[in-house]
Amino acid sequence: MTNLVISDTCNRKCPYCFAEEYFDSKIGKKPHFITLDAFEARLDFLERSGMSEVRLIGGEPSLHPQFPELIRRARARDKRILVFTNGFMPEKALASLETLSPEECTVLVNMNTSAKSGSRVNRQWVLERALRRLGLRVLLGFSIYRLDFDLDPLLKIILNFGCRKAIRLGLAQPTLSGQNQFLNARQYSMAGQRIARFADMAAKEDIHLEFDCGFVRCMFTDDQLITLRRTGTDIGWRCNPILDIDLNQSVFHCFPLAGRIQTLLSDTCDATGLRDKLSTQVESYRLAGICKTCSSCQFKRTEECTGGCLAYTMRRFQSAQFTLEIPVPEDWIESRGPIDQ
Amino acid sequence: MNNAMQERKILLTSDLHWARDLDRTILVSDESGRSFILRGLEAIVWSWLTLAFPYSKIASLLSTILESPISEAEFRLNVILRQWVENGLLTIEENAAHD
Repeated sequence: MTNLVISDTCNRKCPYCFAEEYFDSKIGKKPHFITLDAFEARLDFLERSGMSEVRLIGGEPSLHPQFPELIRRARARDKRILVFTNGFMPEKALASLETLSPEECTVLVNMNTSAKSGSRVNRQWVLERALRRLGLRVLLGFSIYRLDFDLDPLLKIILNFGCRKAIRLGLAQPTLSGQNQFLNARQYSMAGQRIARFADMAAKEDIHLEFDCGFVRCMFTDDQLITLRRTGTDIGWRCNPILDIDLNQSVFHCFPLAGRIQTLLSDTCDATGLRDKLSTQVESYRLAGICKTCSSCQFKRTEECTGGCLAYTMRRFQSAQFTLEIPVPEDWIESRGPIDQ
Repeated sequence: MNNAMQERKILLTSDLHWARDLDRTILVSDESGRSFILRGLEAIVWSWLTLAFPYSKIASLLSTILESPISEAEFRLNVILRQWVENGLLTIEENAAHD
């Protein structure tokens, strides 16, 4: 999979956002959007890579002033559309998505976003308008970044607005600086317990859960795992290079690693090549996981589990900076071999 | 100090990152992409280095945990450090000899 950044601005301010820090670090606060030419080049890349889906991210992608044209161009190449949105989309963006069938597009609406401004009532009206009009095109998403999360209201929303009978669950992960809010690994098993209980409840409404990246096997007991499987949860203990392509052609392993693990898009590269390049960059860090116990865990040893989010894992690494004065024999110094690079 | 010895400063390569796990210490070089795993005594010595303990203190601590004379602890420490230099974990800062 590959996500295309088409807007670096957002109309929400979520405490767990892993993209805000990167976008804010760029020079100037003026919003930037992908040009139509650059978008065509991205579509060429997707075709070279044999990908049939165009995944649009931001910021808030629907804020792109030419959003309907981007959709039209992607559809002209017979691509399925996936939009990652907070649901607060301009009318023309909403209208353009409405013209597509649920088979042609999925609108992944993240449900626990935080406002920059505006009254709660007004925000709810805007969101409900999008849900009502997009109906079955909508897949609800929820990012868990604290333990007191409440998924129950999502069931009612799905039933009321006729959304897809699934919920995409994400664990909020830290950026390398850890400036955003995220769920601490120590809280994972408690979150796992709540997720399993909710999966059971959701299944009664024929609604199932889908796991985003970063979940780990050990956050669930064997019994909880049985519950998840029985309720049709799409389970995965994944952390792979997603390929997030920025406006400036930078390709990130994923947004939490933006600025550290990245490469550049060229006119000839394809997704497999980029993914291999990024995987090589992080290979050594994969020895570890998000916890001290990961490297000796049977689930990681057997590669059933990746050991959680790589950004989380890399945050555990410290830079070694020390000087040691040692009395050593001269021949010790002279006989040392070349340092193997 | 032995006459055949001379004080040298050893600096860690700047791109090395490390994390301590339950039963090992993992070191990664961003530049070369290489990784190293330290266990047991080596992991303990590494942890003292990262605490910026001086050579004499590390040798003394090693002597205590090995229940051996300081000279033997220094020998063991030098073997470890030399191996790390050879493997690229540590690098010797050139022109850092002291009188």
